[in-house]
Amino acid sequence: MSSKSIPGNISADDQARYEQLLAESSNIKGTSQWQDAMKRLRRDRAAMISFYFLIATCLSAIFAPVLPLQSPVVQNLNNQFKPPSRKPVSLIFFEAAKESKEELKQIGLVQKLREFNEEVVAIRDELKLASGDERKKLQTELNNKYEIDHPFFKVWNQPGWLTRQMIHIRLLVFGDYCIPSLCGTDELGRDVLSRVFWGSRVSLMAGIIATLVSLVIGVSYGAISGYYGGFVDAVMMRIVDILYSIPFIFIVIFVMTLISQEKVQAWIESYGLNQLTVFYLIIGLIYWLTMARVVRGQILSLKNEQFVDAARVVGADNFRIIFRHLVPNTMGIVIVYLTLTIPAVMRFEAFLSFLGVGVAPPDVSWGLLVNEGIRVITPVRIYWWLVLFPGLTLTLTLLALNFLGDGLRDALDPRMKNK
Amino acid sequence: MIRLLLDRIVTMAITLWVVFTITFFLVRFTPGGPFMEEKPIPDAIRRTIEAKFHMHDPLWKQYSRHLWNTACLDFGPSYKMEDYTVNEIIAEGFPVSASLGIFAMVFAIILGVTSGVVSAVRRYSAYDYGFMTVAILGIAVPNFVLGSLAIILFVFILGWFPAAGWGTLQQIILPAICLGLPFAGYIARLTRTGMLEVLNQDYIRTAYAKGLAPVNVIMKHALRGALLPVVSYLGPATAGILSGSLVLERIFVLPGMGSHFLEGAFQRDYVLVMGMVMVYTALVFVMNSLVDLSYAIIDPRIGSR
Repeated sequence: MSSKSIPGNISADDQARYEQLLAESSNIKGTSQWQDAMKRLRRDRAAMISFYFLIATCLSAIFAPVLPLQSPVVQNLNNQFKPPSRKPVSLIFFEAAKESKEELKQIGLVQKLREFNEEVVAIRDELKLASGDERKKLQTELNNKYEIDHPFFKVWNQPGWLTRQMIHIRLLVFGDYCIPSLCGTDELGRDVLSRVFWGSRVSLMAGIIATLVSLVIGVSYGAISGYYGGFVDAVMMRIVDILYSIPFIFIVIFVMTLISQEKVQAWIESYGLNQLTVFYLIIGLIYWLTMARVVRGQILSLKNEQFVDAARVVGADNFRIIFRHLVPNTMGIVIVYLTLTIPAVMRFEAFLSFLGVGVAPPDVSWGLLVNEGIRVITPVRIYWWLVLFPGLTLTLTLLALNFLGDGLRDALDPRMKNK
Repeated sequence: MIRLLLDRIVTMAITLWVVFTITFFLVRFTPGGPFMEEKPIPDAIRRTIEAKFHMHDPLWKQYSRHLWNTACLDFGPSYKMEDYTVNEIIAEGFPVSASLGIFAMVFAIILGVTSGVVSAVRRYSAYDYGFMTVAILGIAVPNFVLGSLAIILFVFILGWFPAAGWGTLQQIILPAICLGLPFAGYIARLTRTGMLEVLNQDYIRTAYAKGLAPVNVIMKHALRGALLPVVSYLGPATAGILSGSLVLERIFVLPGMGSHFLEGAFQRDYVLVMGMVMVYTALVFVMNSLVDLSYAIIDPRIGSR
């Protein structure tokens, strides 16, 4: 850069000055819309705190199996309705003792896992020697051991493969140690803290999946309506208007009770879905209306721009113009509405679970936990911790999402530039 | 004005028809009819029931019969509650839900508008920050968490209110406050934004300049313009109040429409649930239309369009 000569008969003084200016200007970097927005977002303290809080919540939800929590499902009737305490607890596996039928034997999970592995090894050894029918029998026994008898299945609710690996890590690191029941225990003696953590997985998952469904539908619908315009637009937006005035909450409650029938469940499972997934999808199916309107408005103002004409001239078809050229340009506002849709959707999930038509046991979610809490409260015994902790977690998450959404909206608003 | 009214009525008819059709076919096409029980009922009784509810007619005939009955506001007998028609159940629950909703709405408007005006007039003061923090909290806390915590604190621990039941003013206050609080938060924010915009207008300066008392300027001149967004929010708020009352009727065990609706849903009383969904849709629609009309009255520029 410095060796570039400037033509013409300029004095050495001027030349030095120009070179300096050139060097300075090459150091100036343009800020893109997104960098600008990030800069403004960083200055918004409420939004940033919310952002870190949400990251922490997501991480603890993903890695809940690794944390030294108590079992979210094991019932212990000697431990009902214990208020928050700091009494140390260890991960216990209940087993009917072979000699006396009444007494329950308690052993640590690590010990139990060791015994289990020894049994498995024993069967493996037999398997090596066996042949024919004997072999087949042992093979099914071995499979049963893994799929049904594994101690993890008694301590956790249907852990998948990845979850089981994380539980192994947890046992390696923490052994049988558990965080004490800092949030008390519920009517079946289960630890509330651990249920809040495991419930966060279902609640956050509902927020994410339902929002993605609404994103896909809303963006496509709005983009198509806005792009084609005219009669198509009028009809499509009329449909949205009509759907807007339907109180879907009541219809969804109705649909959820339909789904909870055994026959319908069997029918759903024949398509490889479970009730929980269908629940997420249904929530997503009713939350796309605002997104569709917003995207349509953006597309309407964008579709007469020159870059669209340019794309058409090069031979791009309508589909390509909509989804490669127009939709990416609406991303700013889409992201803002996305962060505002997530809390709405999560609130709706919690609302339905609270009413008892959403997430069904043995799955847990925050709404369901509050419901379980309020159901057992009587004037005589006030188990406030059953309601307070899940309710507080839910509220904080919703609050954080709202703050982040507001912060993003302000940050992406070009009128707020340099303010 | 009349065109607006006609348009609303036609749209309402279409909306109700769409809702009717959705619910009707949802019920008909889910495996297992409304009378599927855990334990089977004798064949003779099943046949009688099916004949009574015309379940052997072709589908279009059932559909048109049901549609006609619904259009005549006859929702038919309840499938599960003996000796009750759906109309009777709705008539029983409606006054309870309506009074709960009206109380909540009045509370939300009074609290929301007052705190919104104070926040806007005393901008950036401690009042402003205090009210707006409470408003944000009120909006973010889900109403079932609010209701549950309120019943624990005010009913069980402090004993200020009765736990359940219906009829006296004391029994209505707590659920109505819990129901109205989130909407009060929204209304406060809307009022504040509206007021801030209006207070910068020229006519407010003129009003001050001609020597009116600040109270008169704010209450008579500014508030009227600032309330437009609040009025337009009342339509969506009705839908929110209706669904919120599901939760509060459940927590406080009130015998309103929401309780009957949920009970019907759990019992798979499809006729009741269908009827209730229709009534809810109509209610929301009528409220939205009323809001549109009153909007036109408050702001003459809109009506003439």
